[in-house]
Amino acid sequence: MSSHIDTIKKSELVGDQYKYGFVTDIEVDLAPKGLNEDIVKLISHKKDEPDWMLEWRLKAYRHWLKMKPPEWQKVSFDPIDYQDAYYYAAPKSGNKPKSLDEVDPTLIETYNKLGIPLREQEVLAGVEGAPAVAVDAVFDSVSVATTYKAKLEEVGVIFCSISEAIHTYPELVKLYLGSVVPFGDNYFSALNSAVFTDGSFVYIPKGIRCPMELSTYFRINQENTGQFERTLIIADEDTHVSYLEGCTAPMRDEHQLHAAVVELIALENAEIKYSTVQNWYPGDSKGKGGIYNFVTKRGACRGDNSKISWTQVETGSAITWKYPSCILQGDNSVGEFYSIAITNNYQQADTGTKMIHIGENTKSRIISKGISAGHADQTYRGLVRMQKRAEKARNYTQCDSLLIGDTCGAHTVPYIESKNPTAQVEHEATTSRINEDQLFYCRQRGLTDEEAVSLIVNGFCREVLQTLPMEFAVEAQKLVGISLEGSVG
Amino acid sequence: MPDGAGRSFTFLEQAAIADQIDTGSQPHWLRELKESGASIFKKRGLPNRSDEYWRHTLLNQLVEIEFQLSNESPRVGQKQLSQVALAGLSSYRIVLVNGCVRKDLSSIGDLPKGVLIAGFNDVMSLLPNRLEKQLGHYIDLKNMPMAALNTAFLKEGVIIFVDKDITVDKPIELISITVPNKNPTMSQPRFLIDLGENSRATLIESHIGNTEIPYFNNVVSEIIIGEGAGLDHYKFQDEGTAAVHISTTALRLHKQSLYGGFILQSGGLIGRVEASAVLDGSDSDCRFDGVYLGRDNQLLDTTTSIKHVATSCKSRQVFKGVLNGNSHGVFQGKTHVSIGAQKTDGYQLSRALLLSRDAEISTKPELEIYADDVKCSHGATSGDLDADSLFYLQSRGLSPDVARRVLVEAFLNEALAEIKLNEVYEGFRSHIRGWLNKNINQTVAE
Repeated sequence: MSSHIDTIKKSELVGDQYKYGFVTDIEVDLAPKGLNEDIVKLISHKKDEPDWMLEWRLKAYRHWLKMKPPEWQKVSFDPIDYQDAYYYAAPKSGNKPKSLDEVDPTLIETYNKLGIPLREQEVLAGVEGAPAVAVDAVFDSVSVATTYKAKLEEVGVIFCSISEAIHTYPELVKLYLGSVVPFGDNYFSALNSAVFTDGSFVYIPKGIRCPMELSTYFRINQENTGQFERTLIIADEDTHVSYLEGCTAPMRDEHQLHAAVVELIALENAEIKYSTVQNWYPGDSKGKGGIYNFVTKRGACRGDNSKISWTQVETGSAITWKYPSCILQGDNSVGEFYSIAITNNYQQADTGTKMIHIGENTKSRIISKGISAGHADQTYRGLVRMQKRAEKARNYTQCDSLLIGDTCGAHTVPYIESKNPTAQVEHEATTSRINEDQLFYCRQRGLTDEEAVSLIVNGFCREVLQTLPMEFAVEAQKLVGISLEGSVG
Repeated sequence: MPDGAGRSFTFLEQAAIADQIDTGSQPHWLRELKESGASIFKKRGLPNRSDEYWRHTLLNQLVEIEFQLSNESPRVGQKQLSQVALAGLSSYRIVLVNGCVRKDLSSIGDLPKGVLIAGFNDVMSLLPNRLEKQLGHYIDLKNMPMAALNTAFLKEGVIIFVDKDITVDKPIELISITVPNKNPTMSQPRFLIDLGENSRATLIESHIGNTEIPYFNNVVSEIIIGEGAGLDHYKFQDEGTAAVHISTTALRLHKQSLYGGFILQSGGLIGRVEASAVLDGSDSDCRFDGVYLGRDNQLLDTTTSIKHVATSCKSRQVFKGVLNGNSHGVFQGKTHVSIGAQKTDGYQLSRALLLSRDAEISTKPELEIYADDVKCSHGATSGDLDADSLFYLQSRGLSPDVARRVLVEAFLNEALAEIKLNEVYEGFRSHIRGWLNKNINQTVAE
């Protein structure tokens, strides 16, 4: 925690708009540029994967070749040359580190700069009573370190990199991988399935409430690399887990692709809370560079009384394009989506959620707050579907957009479909700009324009910020202010 | 190949044949306009699932049934006409039967000076230059395949011109009746309505077909409202039970103009009413309201789009739907605010009631906003009648069916209250009551 606050302070001093824009000089193991079956085989070989995994990857790759990139989204970018990127980049460290002490110190330094308490002592030495967070750090394509493993193992929670899970828990991976997002689901999920290099794997055994927050930090460091991580979280019956995800990348002039797939499975009475603070490099104020964040996130509430809750704070990326969704299969299951998306300069975001109500008495709640400034363009796109069997299902959706400046855009495209008369759907959306009176009031109290905007926007987002775990809430609030720097006056 | 692409060529062949039968005296510009419609339709074919605004409205009927362009205008008596007319309404009336203007049934003799209500062909010989300047200039054929198809057939229709500063003293009634013979027929009528500066008019447009024989009615209207002018437009779609009704309306609102549109849809097997307005003069005010009543296997689609181009314009949309049987309701409404359209006030509400287990609603209220000093919102709901209210009414001695009817009527009132003309209000309300009496009897009273 202390390092969080430090980095925030540091960034305030420097006045830097993107504080994570450093590059770590580190030796890397790179696969040749381009994408073909050999690269897929090489990735699988590098990871020493079993045959069934390679088969699955190749199937996905062959399917991907037949697919066309989607065009329906409201974002514009030049076509991506998939042959002009590296699909595998790993920090060279010889043998796998056995403990944190063996991890390359430059890497640890990187994560320290990011303010991630990789070293357990740091957390322990922090404020008394500070909650412990287990971290899986993913650097370019590979997981470099997972903390608190021992403590989690005591209660039977499995938290490791997905590569490790493929080796150690093949039955679980075989059973659930691709069961929520099949490789043929969309263009980017097929690409991810073929070339994913790492990610996190979580399994919470029956009846366990995960004793600490689990967290993954992703970082794209290497030039010209794409990051394709794959996260799989399984919450068995009567469990609870809260998972945090954070991401950063250095400032680079060219665009980098990030196409991740996240699958959540909640069985009977299980609850998964998934929080994201996405702060990939957004490009400079002219719209040069930045990450293309094309992500498929989906959770399945398979069991009765299960719950999946997505919270996202999207401030980074040149283009964000993702729809964390819930498939509410089990009776009485609950899906939630809380989102803050901030776009400034030339950023584009097309984001939202899908709530598919299948079971009886299923409930979903969508709160989306979009803030658009500069020349940015932002779209909320969502689907709420009440299937025929979704007796007495309920949905409430609220999407509010705030516009700052007359050159940005904010759009709302909700799809609402109901096939059940007892299901109730409510949708509300508003678009407006910051209230002049509120701004005046803040300025009159001595706040600068930017401080006033930051305060008002934080108030506008409060409903969502409140749902974030404490570790993230502080950082997210600061991010909201930093992302809008230069948008007023 | 998109669904029905093969079929679309049959449509165009018919358009070409109809053209040859024509004496061939049509001017160059009209031929060009028709050809552009035909070529756009040829390229696009009938809309299919991949057309975003047609995702739910599939025109399979048009592919399966061989519709013939109707060449005859069968006998329709005044008696038949009085059945569809609104009670107690004195109006200027123009009647189309199977898409062709019937002077014998119309009553437009004593029009005030500065008002023209006439069939397309009469205006072609009277004011060809004015038609050339306006016809087809307000509709975006490229994105409206069915309007392109109508344009390819352009031959019949109604033209209404109101001059500057004129207030039309009586409402104008435009009645389109379809009386098919044994074979499925189609008609492609075209309407053009141009209101000059500071003029006022009320238009009541009805589409009626009292038949179970399938037919296809593809209507296109272009409406121009001049500076300071105002139009109240009531549209009643009560086509035959096997009919396909597609209507596309393009509106242009100039400075300080007013448009109040109300759509009541309850007929046809497939009914789609699409209206799109461009507000390109400041301080204009555009309203779309409506009610749709679905039963059996009906598919009723209401698609609207309001584009705010100028500053300080206001738009408001309130749509209420009641769906029974296996019917499927579709509402797609878009509010677009262009760059520079500051001080826009846009409001939209879409609510649907599902009265049966098998009814379905698909709603897509859309906001696309590129200006910051705006106030835009939309709301959408779907569900059943409130159980507490039902119980309350029943506790007061109302039977379950009557209680349901009372609640449905109350639900629809928010939209109906926007009707300004009393005769239309009464007429629409009695139509709705008739529908409710027929359709709400022990529906979900299990």
